[in-house]
Parts: sequence; structure tokens; C-alpha cells
Amino acid sequence: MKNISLFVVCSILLIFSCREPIDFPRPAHQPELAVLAQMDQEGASVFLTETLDSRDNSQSPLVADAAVRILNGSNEYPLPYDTGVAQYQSFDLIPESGKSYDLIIEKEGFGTLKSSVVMPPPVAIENIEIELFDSIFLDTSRSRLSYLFSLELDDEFAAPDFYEITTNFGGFTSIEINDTTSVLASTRLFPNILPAKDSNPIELEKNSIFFVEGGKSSFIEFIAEFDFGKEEYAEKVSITLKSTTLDRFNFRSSQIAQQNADDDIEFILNPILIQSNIENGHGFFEVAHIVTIDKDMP
Amino acid sequence: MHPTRLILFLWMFFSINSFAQEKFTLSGVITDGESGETLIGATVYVAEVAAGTTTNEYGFYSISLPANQPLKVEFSYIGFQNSERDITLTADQKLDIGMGEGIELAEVVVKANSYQEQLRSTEMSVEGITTKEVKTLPSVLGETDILKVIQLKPGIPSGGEGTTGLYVRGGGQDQNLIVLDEAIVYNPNHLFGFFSTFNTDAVKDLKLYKGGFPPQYGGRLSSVIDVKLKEGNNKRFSGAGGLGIISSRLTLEGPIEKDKSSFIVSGRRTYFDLITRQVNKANEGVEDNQPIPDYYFYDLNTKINFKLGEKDHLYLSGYFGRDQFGFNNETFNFGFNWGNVTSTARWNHQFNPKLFSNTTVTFSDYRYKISNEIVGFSFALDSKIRDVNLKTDFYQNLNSKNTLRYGASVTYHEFTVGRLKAGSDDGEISFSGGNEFDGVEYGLYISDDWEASPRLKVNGGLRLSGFSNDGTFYYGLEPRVAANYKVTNSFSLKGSYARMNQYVHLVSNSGLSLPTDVWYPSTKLVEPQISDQVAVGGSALFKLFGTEVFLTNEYFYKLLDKQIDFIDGAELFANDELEQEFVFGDGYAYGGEISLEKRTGDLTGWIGYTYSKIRRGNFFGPKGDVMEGRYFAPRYDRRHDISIVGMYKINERFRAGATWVYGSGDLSWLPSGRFTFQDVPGAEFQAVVPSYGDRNTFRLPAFHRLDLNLIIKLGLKKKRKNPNRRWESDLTLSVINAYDRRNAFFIFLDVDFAEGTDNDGNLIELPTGVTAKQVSLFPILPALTYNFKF
Repeated sequence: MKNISLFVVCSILLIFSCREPIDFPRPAHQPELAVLAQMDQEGASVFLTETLDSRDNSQSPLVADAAVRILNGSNEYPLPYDTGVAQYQSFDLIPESGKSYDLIIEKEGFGTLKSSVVMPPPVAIENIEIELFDSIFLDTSRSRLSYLFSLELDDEFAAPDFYEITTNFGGFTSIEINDTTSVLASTRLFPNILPAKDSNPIELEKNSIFFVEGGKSSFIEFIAEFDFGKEEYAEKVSITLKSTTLDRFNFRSSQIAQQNADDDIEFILNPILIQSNIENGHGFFEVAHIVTIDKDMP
Repeated sequence: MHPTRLILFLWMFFSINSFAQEKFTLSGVITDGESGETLIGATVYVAEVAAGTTTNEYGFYSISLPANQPLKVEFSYIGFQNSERDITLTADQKLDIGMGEGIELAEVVVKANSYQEQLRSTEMSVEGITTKEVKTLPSVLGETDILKVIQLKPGIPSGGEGTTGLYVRGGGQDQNLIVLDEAIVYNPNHLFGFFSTFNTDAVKDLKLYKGGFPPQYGGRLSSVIDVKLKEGNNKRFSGAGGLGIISSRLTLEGPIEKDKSSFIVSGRRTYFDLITRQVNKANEGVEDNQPIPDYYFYDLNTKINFKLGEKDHLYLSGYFGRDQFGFNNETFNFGFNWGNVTSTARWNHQFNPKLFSNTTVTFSDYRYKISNEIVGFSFALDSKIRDVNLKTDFYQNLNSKNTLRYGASVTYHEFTVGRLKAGSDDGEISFSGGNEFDGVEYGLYISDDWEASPRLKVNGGLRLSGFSNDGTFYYGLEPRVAANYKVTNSFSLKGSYARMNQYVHLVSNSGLSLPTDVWYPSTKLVEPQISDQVAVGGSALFKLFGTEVFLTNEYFYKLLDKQIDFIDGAELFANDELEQEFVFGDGYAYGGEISLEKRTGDLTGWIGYTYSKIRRGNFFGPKGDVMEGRYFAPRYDRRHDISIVGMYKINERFRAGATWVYGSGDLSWLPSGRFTFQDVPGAEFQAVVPSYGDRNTFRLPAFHRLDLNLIIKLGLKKKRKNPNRRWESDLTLSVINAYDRRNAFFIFLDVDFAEGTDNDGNLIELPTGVTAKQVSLFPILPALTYNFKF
């Protein structure tokens, strides 16, 4: 629950309420462009759609005829449209850490959309250790195994502003690091909240996200739990460390908050807007340096 | 000008009339002759010298009159027979008056003399209501409510059904100073605004200032609601009460020592929970039984007062009120409660016939708490604000042309903001948060009510206010001026200007006022809010279709600065860095109000209309801006507001009341469009995203409602046989929302689904369309109440 007290109050009020359809005049919707763009050390891709009236339940129309390019100083990289994946893509562009890149999208009738980002450096990992932490039998056919991951970072290299940690198995249960103030956690219960200073390890729900502030912590431990059936077992795990920005954390946590918002109380809160770094449009241009490390499970 | 010359000039200016003719002072206290209750705003008038005054909040008056001249002094007050005294002053004289209730006026509100006082007074933008009027008008579920009735006056729209906020002349819900016997009440509502915390049986007087604020008031930008409790009948033991369908009330009052000290105790409680508990008990053990949630509220007003000699009077009063909501079953134990506690100790002292003082110490506490225990896990969230205040006021009759008021106050505030404790019983999981602050608020003021000429009266004053918190200190000068020009005996023009500073602020990211809203102090980042309001208007007394009516028409313009709002997507819950979510900007509001009152005859009432426009903008803060700083309308920007109120005395047994209100719908921020994200890496939720344009561009349907009631007096035959019979009773039948209008509480967009199959033939729910739906709260609500008094 995003806002427990508001949820409680409105639930009480709504016990007495009634609902009925209504028609009332609203201004006509002016279509805009919505962008989801990603760029990492292997290239860039842009997914582009048009907004619809909120009462129109059709599929958002894909936009295939825009002019999309990425600029870096005097260098220009066009992103042609690939109908197979319905995205604008380029693998010619290899972004360099510390350099600035501008995404420009032009389409007649929509003006020019623009977003500027700086490519962050990669997360330098010196060592990763995994050990079995706990096991619980859920029932006769399934078990829950908890693994302790210990990451040691290499201090010699420049750290990104933030980095996000994910694994291919899904959710985490807790994080313990040597500097508790440097973690941003976004959970279903407490989206976009800094952990209390006396709370370590930090408890998370499954599918929470957490970002670590770069350059502050050289050692991180986190516990992830996985449910396995009788015939299942993971021999390897992929750990992805994505160097990123505070903007992306705000974007991701606003998505979580918007998803969590209960329709019944959303009306009285100012609506939860998805954070955007796109001028003249909606969406997000994400730039990251992604490092994926495969490790054998113990 | 040299200071000595300035002082000499001022002394000569203020003394000039004294030197012209010898004068003495007539002073005293005006009370209800039957109960001993002091009367606030009673008029004292001497026609021979065209001099007049009114009693202050403590029933005290003081007037300078020529010596050695026979004079007729007329005392008048609403609902009482006028009283006259012939006097010839040869020295300062004390004259206390006990007003007798008008036999023919007892059932009819007559305001003729108070109209004259309104035409003479510099007070403008002020509304008052009597408890008699409140009891005649329709009430929700039989509970008469003085705060609900005052909202029927122009310029005072409420937040709507099911909400508690007052939005006076474009001001926000936190910009209203509500005091009960001089102690601040931070949340004056039960049951989310269905009822106020003021028990009509215990209230003596309510006055609401919308502008032209007298300098003794400060700390809020948009309104002052000053509620005074009764003191208790010091002549005889008496009581009153009522039995309704959801609540009952009882008031007992009487002398401790006749004419010297008295008490009053007044309580109310709902009893819906007593019924639901019995139902739950009966259903215990029934399969799939879901217990009905518990809810009740209560409030208790207590007061005692002692006359400590001719010059001193001591009052002690307290208010205790709480709302309690609970829901329990085998695995779930949920509680939600909120409430106010206030207490007041007040000492009145009369130094001499010209100088009167009031010194008060008050305590005020508002808090809410939400708690929940489920198996193995508990959670508690609470917030509170607590004040201790010391103030002193002096009321000095300088001469026949000047009345001074001056005083000082200091308030210590303690804030607990979003204190959260959550954790598992075994201690493996624990989380805590919240902030605590304290601050001190100061006020110093002086004002002079100056009769510049027989036609022109001016009230000019200055308030110096300040606030300190953790090394940060703010202060502000607040000039106040109001003028009244009496064009004729039945027409006057008025104007006023007031600057206000506000040092405590309500944190609410909702468009409504809810008990979970949190009070926050001014800090280094959060500066005090400021308003400047100008109002002009006029009042006229004239005959319309042969009936005397009173017309008031005012226009106001208000500038607001250092306003607080929230960044889009602000996280207020358990956020220790709350200030980072704030944005700061400004705003303005303007409008006009007109009201036509009829107070004589069998049919009485008023019609009021308000036009207003409000804009806020230029909001920037630590995390960014709102709408690039552009101006927008807040949710409560209602363009038009109409209220028609009528009270009709059918005959001795039956009285009817009706109110019809109409208001432009509130504004809402609905999505204008939607778009789709492709799968967002790491996300596991739907990709459809609503897109929002500018804030508050959708106007909900207009709000209107008709409420009716009928009062049937009982026991009239017995009363005729025995005129000394004290027991009086009536049955009141109320119907709220008589034509069952479903007013929109809010509107949302709902997706309609139908069953379909995916590519693999699995059953899924497919969206088929989107419908706009409204939620409304009040259906038609009848109620029956038995009222009594003795």
C-alpha cells in the first residue's frame, strides 16, 4: 500500500458510497509521443508510440515513420526502424563513459522530442561469492532456498552515480552493506524511501528494486531466495550490475508507485506521474553500462 | 518628528474630546437574566448623544458619556427584550444588566438593533449564527451542527460531502484558525466531516471572520472561527438533550453557588457500535462470517466559572473528543482513532471602569493513530500537534471616540510527524521513521477603534508576529485597517485591509481534508505563508415587498505568498525527508459575495451567492517544479456558490426549515490520454500508463442538495395548563438530500473487461472499453430526533 492512512480513510468512506457511470464533457485529447529508449555499451534502441484518449481502449499505435538519431558532439548516429522488432535501433553506436549523448526524435505534427544523458562508467567487480544461507520445505514438491551473495567492488576504478543489481531468478529479501545511507530501495510497501539509519539489513519484498550509490560502499551482501520444484535446480546464476542514474531510479519507482496506486484512492491524491526525461513528450531515455556475471551455484 | 513632540501631539489628539466636555464612564457586564450567561456583542446605545458600543467577548462594555445630563441607555440583544435605563452620571458608574427573554420574540429571531450595530461597526466580512437558528435548520441524521450551518453563509464553501475542509475566499483548508474558548482546535470534525466537534447545546456563540481580521487574531491566512462555550446557568439547575437514530446528547448545567459560580457538562456519543457488537457476537462461529467494523465518536465539553469578587472572574473549561474505528477478527486487529483535547484557564480582571483584561492559558492536542496487528507482524503510525499558549488582552475605553485593544501571546508547539513503527514479533524485521519538531510562535498587537466623525469609524491596528524553530527565526508586521462610512441610517460603506502570516502548515497530498493530514512547522526551508486581503462592500437595510430585509454585498481580492504544495508524485508516507517533497509558490483569489437576510415575521432566512476565482502557481522546490511554474486552479476553485435558507413558523406547534445549496463542481485531475511502454526491464506490471496534462482541468458536475426538516413541539397543552412547567420537548424530522441527488464525490476511469482467449486458447480477461464513473456518498437520509430541555 502506498499510503496506508489514506487507504484506510477512503476505504471507510467508500463503505457508504455508491458508483454509477457518468458522462461529462471533457476537452479533446491531443496526441503526443511516448518513448522508451535504452542505450548501453552495445547499442541503442527506441520504442515509440502515440498516446490515445484515455477512454480509447485500442492498442497504442506504433510510430514507424519518425526520424530518430543520437548525437554526440559532431557525431550523428541515425536509428533506422526495424519492423521485425518494431523499434528504432543502432548497433553502430558504442557509447563511451563520461560522454554526453542527445536523443532527438522528430515527427511531423509532434514537434521535436529531446533527451540528454551522460554515459556512466561500468561497475567494477573484484570478486563475487555465493553460499547457501537457508532452506525451507514449502511442501512435498517445492523448496525455498536462500543464498547469500557477497560482492566486493574494485575501488581503483571510477564508480557510477548509482548501480542497480538484478539476478535472473527474481526477487531479493534483504541487503546488508557497509554504508546504509547509500541505498535507494523501492518496494511495494515503501516506494521511493531511504532506509532508516538503524535498519541494516534492509528488508525487501520480492521484485523490489534497489540501487546502490556508487563510490560509497566497497562491499555488499544480499540475500536472494528462489523457489524450486523437485526437478528444478539452478546450476548457474546471472548477476547483472547496471550502472545508471538517479533519474532512472525515480522513473522506476514512479512506475512501481503508479502500479500500486489503488483506483479507489487515486482520485484524492495528485495522480502519480511517471518520471520522464523527455522534453516535449512522455517516457524515458535510459543509458547504462551493463555487466553480467555468471556464477556457479554452490 | 521629534519623539517628544510626537508623544505630545498624540496625547493632545486623544484627549481633545475629553477636554471639550466632562465625561464619565458607564461600564458593566450584560448577561442573560435567566441563566446568568454573558452576552457577546450586546448593543449599548444612547440616542441623545448618538453614542454606542457593544459588549466584548466576555460580556463587558464600557462607554464614555457626558456628565450631569439625563440619558436613556438602551441595551439590546438578539432574541431578548430591549432593556432601558435612565441615568445621570455624576461619577464613573457600574451597571450590570440581566436581559429578559422577549415573550413574543422568543421563537422569532429579531435582528433590528443588531442591524443598526452592523451598519455602525467597522467589522466587515464577518458571519455569526445563533444556536436558535441552528436548531431550526435541517441537520444530518438529527445532529444539529453549528459549523455546518455557518457554511451556508456566502464566502464559506465546504470541501463537500464526506470531507472536513473549509475553503474561505480562496484559502486552503489549513488557513482557518478555529478556536474553542481560545484554545486551537486542529481538526473540528467527526466522521470525516459528517459532523463537527461542536455540540450545539454547549455553544454560546460562533463568529467567523472571512477578512478584515481584528489584530488580536493571527496565525492563519483565510479565516478565524471563534467559538465560545456557555458558562453554565448560575441561577438554577437545567439541562437539555436529544435522542437520535445514531447518537444522543445530554447537557447539564447549574449553579455551584447561585449568581457566583456555575458549571456546565455537555456530552455526546454515537451508539452504532453497540448495535454492531451485538450483531458480531451473535454471528460468532458462523462460517465465513466477516465481523462488521466498529465505529463511534464521543465528545465532552466541561466548564466551571467562579466570580471572585466584583472585579475578577475565573473560568476553567475543557474539551475531549475522539473518533474510534476498529476491525477485528482472528488474524487481524486494526484500529484507527483521532481526536482533540483542549483546555482553557481564563481570568478576567476589571482594573477600573475603563480598563478590562483577559489572561488565558490554553492547552491543545490533536493526534491520530493507525495501528494494525496481524499474525506475527505489527504496525503503528501516528502524528500529533500539541500547543501550550499564554495570552493576555487589554480592552481600554480611552475616551468617547477611541477604544484601544492591545495584548500579547506566546505559543509553544510540539509536532510529531509521521511516526512509524513496524516490525515482526520476533524482531527480525523492524522499521521506524518520523520526525519531531518544536517551535514557538509569538504575537503582539495594538488597535484603536476610532470614531473619526458621526459617520466615519476606523479601526486601525498592527500585529507583530514571529516564529522560532531550531535556530530559525521569522517575524512579520501585519497591518490591519477597517473603515465604515455610514451614508444614511440604513446604508453604510465599508473597506478593509489585512496582512496575515501563518507559521504552521497542513501537509496533505489529497484534495480533501482528512484526519490523517499532518501539521508541519515553518523551518529553514519552509517559510511562513503570507496573505494580503483587501475587501470593500456595503450594507443596507430596506423594505422589500413590505418586509424589512438586510443586504450585504462585498468584494475581495487576496494575494497569497509562500504557498506550499507538493511535487508531482510526492511521497508523504513515512518520509523522513518530507521537506524535499514540498514546492513553494504563490496565488491569488478574488470574488464577490451578496446576501439578503429576512429576520422578522414567520418566514425568516437568507439567500447568499458567492462568485470566486482562485489561481496558484509559480511552484518550485528542491525536487523540481509543478507545471513549469505555470498557474493553475486548485481543486476547490468553485466558481459559483448559492445557498437558500428558510425557517417558517407554521403555528405554535410546527416549525419547518429548509436549505438548498448549489455549487459549481470541484476540479479534478483526470488523465487525458494513455500510452504503452514496451516491457520495461525488471518490471513485472502492465505497460499501459495514463498520461496527465495540466492539473485540475476537469470540472465535476455541479453539486446541489435540498434538506428539509419539521419540528413538532410536544406537551403544549400541559404547558398551557401549567405555565411554570419546565420540561419542554419536540420531535424533529429531518430529510437530508430530499430529492436524492447523487453528487459526485470523485470521478475515475474504470476499465470494462470481457472474457476472451489468448493465442494459446487460455481464458483471459480482455479490456473492452473505458467508462467514466462517479462515486457519491449521500443518498436520501431521513432522521428522527427527540429533543428536550428543562
